[in-house]
Amino acid sequence: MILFLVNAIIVLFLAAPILVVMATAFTTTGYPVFPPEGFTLKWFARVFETGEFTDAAQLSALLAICATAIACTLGTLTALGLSRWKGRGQSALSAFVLSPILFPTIVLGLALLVFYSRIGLQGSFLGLVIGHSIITTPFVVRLVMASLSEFDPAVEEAARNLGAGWWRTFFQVTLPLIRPGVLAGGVFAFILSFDELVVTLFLAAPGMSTLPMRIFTFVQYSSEPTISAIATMLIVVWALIGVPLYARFLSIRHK
Amino acid sequence: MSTLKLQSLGKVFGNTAAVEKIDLEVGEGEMVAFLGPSGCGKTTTLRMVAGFVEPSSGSILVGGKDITRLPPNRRNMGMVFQSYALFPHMNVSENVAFGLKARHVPKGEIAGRITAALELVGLSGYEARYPKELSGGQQQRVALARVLALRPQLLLFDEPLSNLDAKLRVQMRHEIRTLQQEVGITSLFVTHDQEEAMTIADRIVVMNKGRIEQVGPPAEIYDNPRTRFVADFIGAANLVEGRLEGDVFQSARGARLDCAPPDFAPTGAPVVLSIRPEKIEILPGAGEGGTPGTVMRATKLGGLIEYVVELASGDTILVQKQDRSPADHLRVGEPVRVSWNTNDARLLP
Amino acid sequence: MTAAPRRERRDWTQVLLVLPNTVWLLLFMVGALFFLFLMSLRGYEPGGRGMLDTWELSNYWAFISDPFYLKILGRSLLMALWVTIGCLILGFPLAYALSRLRGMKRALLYFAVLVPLLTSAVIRTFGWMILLSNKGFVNQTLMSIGLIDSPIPMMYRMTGIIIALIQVLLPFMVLALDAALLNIDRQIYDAARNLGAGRVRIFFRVTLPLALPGIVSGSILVFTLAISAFVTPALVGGPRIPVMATLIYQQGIALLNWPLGAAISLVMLVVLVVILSALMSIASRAMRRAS
Repeated sequence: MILFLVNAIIVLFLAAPILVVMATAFTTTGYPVFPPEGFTLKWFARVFETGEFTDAAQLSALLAICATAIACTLGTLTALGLSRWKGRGQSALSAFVLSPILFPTIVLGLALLVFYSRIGLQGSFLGLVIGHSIITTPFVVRLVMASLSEFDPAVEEAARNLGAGWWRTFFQVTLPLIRPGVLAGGVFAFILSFDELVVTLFLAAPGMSTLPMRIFTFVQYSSEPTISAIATMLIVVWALIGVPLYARFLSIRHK
Repeated sequence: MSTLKLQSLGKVFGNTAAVEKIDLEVGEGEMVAFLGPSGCGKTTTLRMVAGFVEPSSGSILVGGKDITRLPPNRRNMGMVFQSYALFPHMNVSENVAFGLKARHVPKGEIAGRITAALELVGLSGYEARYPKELSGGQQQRVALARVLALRPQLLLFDEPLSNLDAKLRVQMRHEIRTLQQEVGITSLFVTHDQEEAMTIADRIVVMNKGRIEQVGPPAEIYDNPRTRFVADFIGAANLVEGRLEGDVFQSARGARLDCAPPDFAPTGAPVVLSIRPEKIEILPGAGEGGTPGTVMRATKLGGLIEYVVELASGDTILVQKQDRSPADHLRVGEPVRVSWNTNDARLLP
Repeated sequence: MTAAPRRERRDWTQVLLVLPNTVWLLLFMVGALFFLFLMSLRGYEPGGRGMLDTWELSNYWAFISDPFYLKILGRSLLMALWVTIGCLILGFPLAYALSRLRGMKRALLYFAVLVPLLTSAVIRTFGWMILLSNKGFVNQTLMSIGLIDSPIPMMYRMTGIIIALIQVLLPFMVLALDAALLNIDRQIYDAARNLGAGRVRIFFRVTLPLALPGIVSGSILVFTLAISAFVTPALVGGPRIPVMATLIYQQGIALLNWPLGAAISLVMLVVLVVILSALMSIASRAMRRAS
């Protein structure tokens, strides 16, 4: 009972800023207040009136799609390689591959900026995609590894024994079985990349502005509830796209 | 056409030899069980035959053809795994179809072969079920149907019954045996369960530490073990250490015991006398005939009663008798005599 | 037929599979880090000619010898420490409940943990800015129920940063702890109770030691993310309360003093590695004792 109460408070603490942002999106006041006063949808309309948010969102989506494609490819291959790794070096290699999770993004941002200025990728879209792929790939590796550990490795041998070659085994047995992991990894990578701010701040060219950059600037220098409106839309969309992710986490932990 | 021949087949992992250059011939339609404790090399041998482990030495011949270097998918062998290894994302019918498609069996023929294979294992009507909707025994049958549909040259069983409960295990054992005889496919069956090996196989290969200890029909393996390991591993055996004094066996503790003449040249080195507990006669009272001793323990084992008898020398002998009537029971501490047919007591180097 | 021992054929597929990602990381993470290191050794003349062609240690010296910078380092470490402790205290009960729930209840609680994780730090920090300001909900509520007379300043204060950062990083801690707690065999609890242990004793002698791997991995993750956090300190703290991350950003982007920014980055990395390896060696000793 006490545990239940304590946890209710902790959950409230976790939810508080999100609920507050969502509530203030509907206030009639010219600045975000909680509790909101009145009810209006004009801040949602305002998001689409000025092109700056929609343009930024498009750029972020394009960036996230490219980064996710790379992350899913590299991450899935890596997970497959690590899971069937024989001999020494497996733990060292997996630590290296997962290390970007722990690598401070602020340092990665500056390091890439310095590096790009040397190799001519400074301010390029490709440079941003590469930076985002570094950040997101380890999460794909993790989620695919988890789904690989869930199925019986003997099914691949069974497929070979039944006469299937390497390709048939991979596309008809291995890939369908790890698809939930790849999907969850892809969703997480997409959201992570779409929301990424720090590395992007370092690498974006002067005129280039992703949605998180816009929101960041807006939060600092403006006090219109437009920001609450756009944040609310993002929260809802992410919560919905995240469904495969929750399912993934739940089923992994269930074992 | 589908005989199997292993020629000095060996596997070394790092510095340890998992399988030490074994030789074996398996005849057409024969069912051979590989029996041994875990780590004896039986599974490694099977996996080399299947093509999942690359041999360090030697070769594998099927029907006289060397297949040592062939990848597993081109070997035409059907393997049944310990975990069944059914494809969880495919239903029963798709599981069986997988191998047929992989081997490019003509489309028109596939449906008929699926039906036939499922009929063979008694699973007609289960085509649309998914593996997780089936019991362990049913999954096992699907795994069987999946390989039988391919009409492989060789069937390989990797401890296929160890995940089933005791009763089902006994039942499936007989079903597999009957099926195998029906289709007449040469088979290897890996197990650590001696009873399973005894009931299922034409011949048993007993393995230990990467070596073959003995090969022979179940009865021969049981009645005439060639090595200490086999005598000890298969069934219960009295193993008495000692040496040969001329023609007579003398135990290390000094008892002189009857035994068959050795079928190896005696070297004067220590030998072991091996005798099965059920081959020993036990008579009450201290009288003439047999070696005198004392009952130290009596245990009822279902229809059997088991006595531990200590001989005057201090050697202990295990005796099993049919428990016919309580009137025959011997009490602990009672003086008895034990004797046996000389031919049942074998000397092992 | 003689069987000459064949040489073991190396299985190259595993290597081929991990190769692309490894090369990618070597190039763009390790490679970039190397260039950052080179940059930290370059001379710099503020205002005038900017970056020089000389190689020197002056940037490191500038950091180490200036109390202003050292204070920022100390502040960042302290902030990360408090955030880690806060996440442990709040994360444990939540993870404990999560690990014991089943079915729909567990799914719901998971949802409550994962939705914040999927919401960007900028948005969540923005929520805290609304809540924590002097006229914000928290202060207004506290004043209206008479707990305080004047608002507690939390915006542009360390307190605010820590509160917001705990919320931002809490999901990571909960996931790490949940994984560890789920690994505990439930029969162990039954056995402990059967042996006569009370709830408190079970918690301290059974649950806590067995959750140690999760506590360690969660703490490492949270501490690292906290010390390098940029968004929350930048928005809640503002320029008044610089931390390492905002300092690096300022040097690298606003002042374009890349050599100093690079040196500060490397100092932070080294400090982080030292602290984490110390933490891990303590933890592995504790785990050995526990097992």
